[in-house]
Amino acid sequence: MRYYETLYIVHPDYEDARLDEMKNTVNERVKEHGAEIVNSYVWGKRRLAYAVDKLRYGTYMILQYSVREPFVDELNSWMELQKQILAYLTTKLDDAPVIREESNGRESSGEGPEQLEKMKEVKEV
Amino acid sequence: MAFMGRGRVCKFCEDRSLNIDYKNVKLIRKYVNDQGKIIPGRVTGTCSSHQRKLTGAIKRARNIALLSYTGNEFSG
Repeated sequence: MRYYETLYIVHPDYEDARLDEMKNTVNERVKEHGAEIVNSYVWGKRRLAYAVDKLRYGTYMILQYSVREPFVDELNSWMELQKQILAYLTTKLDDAPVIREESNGRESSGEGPEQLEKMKEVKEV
Repeated sequence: MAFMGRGRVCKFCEDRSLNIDYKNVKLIRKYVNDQGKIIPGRVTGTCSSHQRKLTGAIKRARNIALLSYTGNEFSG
């Protein structure tokens, strides 16, 4: 049994409902391969370090799961075909991830709120 | 902070609780220069095993647009 983490970026304009929809689609896809999901949540909207599909911002989503038989290649080729997913990265985790408590679905991991404020400034200018 | 004088000790050996994670951009950014290049361990004092992990994390972060490949691209 191995633990994996997939981080993927979706379009920054997506609202909560569409993010949930997106999350569920990916979750279902992963479950089809016999994975057990540990965590799946919205990491937050961030400014991208470089433009991806001409977009400067993106909403990062984190999915952590455990699986017996790895299916990274299949998942990657599927992710590549999804228009809504700008970028993705699957990594193997050394330890079992800590189960995250559902607060309000959004995590303010240090830089989160700051990033959003910076974004507002940019938009106003 | 990342750059200590001579006789420095690896920051990650000193503080074992400090995990090298590609998602921790604040930490990783200290180990790349303005051009986005990885700073060698001999400069930062990071030991070889931690430097290896750090390099991997930086490369992952670049891949997923958390870190720039070339420095600040949107500064203009």
